Amino acid sequence: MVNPTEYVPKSYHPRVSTYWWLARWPYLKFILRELSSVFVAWVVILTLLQIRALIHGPAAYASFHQWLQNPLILILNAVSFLFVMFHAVTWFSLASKAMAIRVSGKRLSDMAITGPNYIAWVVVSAAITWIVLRG
Amino acid sequence: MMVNGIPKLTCATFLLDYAPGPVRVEPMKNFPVLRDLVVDTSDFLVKLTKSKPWIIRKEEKPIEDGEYLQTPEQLETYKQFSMCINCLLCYAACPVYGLDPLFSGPAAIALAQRYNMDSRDQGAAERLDILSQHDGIWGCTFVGECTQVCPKHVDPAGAIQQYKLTAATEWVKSFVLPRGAT
Repeated sequence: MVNPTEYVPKSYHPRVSTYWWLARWPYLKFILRELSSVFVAWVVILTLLQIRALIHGPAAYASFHQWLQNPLILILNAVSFLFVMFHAVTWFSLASKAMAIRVSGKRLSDMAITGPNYIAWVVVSAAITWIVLRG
Repeated sequence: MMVNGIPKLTCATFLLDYAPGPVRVEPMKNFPVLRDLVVDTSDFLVKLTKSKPWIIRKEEKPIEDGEYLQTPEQLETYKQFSMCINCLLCYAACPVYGLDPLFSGPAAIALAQRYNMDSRDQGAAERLDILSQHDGIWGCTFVGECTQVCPKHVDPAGAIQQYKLTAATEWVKSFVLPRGAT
C-alpha cells in the first residue's frame, strides 16, 4: 500500500540535445578524441596493406605507391596524420590521470608520467626516420 | 547551478568575474527540475548509498584495543577523494550521466574509491562487485569535465580510471590465480 503522506513532487526532465557535444569546446574535443580512433584504425589498415604489398614483390609495392598518390588517399592520409597526432597527445595526457604511481608515499607528478611517454615517442620516431632516410 | 552554461558553486561565484554580463543562471543540468533553480538530487543519493561510502570491516576489533591508526602516508592516498562536498557539479558536467541516468556517476565512484584506498577499510571487493557493472565505472568514457568543474580538486575522472585499472587487474587475477587467492 502506498504511504498516503509520501510526497512525490512533479518534476521537469529537460531533454539532452542530440548536439550536446557542440555546446562546449571540451565536449567537442572529447568527440574528436573518440573519432580519432577511426583514423588510427585506418593507419593500421594502411600499414597492413603496405606489408602485403612488400610481400608480393617490387611490382606490387610500386603499384601500392602509385595508389598512395591518389589525391583522395593523400587528403585522407593528411587528415589521418592530424587525428593520430591528436590521439597520441590526448592519450599521453590521460595516462597520468589513470596511473596513480606512488614513490616513497608521494604520488608522482603528471609530468613524471607523461614526460617518459613523450621521450619514448620522440626516440622511436627519430629511429624510424633514420632507418627510412638511410635508404 | 549553471552559470553561462558551466556548472558552478554559485555561493563562490562573483558577478564581478562576469562583468559587464549578461549572466545566464540555470538549474543544474542532468537533474529533474522541481521549480525555478531547484533540482531533485534523489537519484544521486540512491547511487551514493549503493557505492557503500563508509568503512567496512570484516571483523571489528574490540573498543579496548583502541583506534585504527593511520600514518600520514596512508591518509595521503585517499585524502584528495575525501574532499568531496557532494555539490554534484560533476554530475551536471558529465554528458554520460545526462544521456544515461543509470550511470553511477563521478562523485559516487570517487567516494567509493576514497574508502577503497583507506587503510582501515576492507570492503573493496564488495564495492567492486557493484561498481564493476556496466553502469558503474565502465559507463565512464573519460570526458574529464567532472574533474575540471570540481571546486575541491577531487579529480573524480582520475578516481574512475584508477578504479578501472583495479577492476581489470582483479579480473585478470581471477583467471590466473587459483580460486580464493584473490
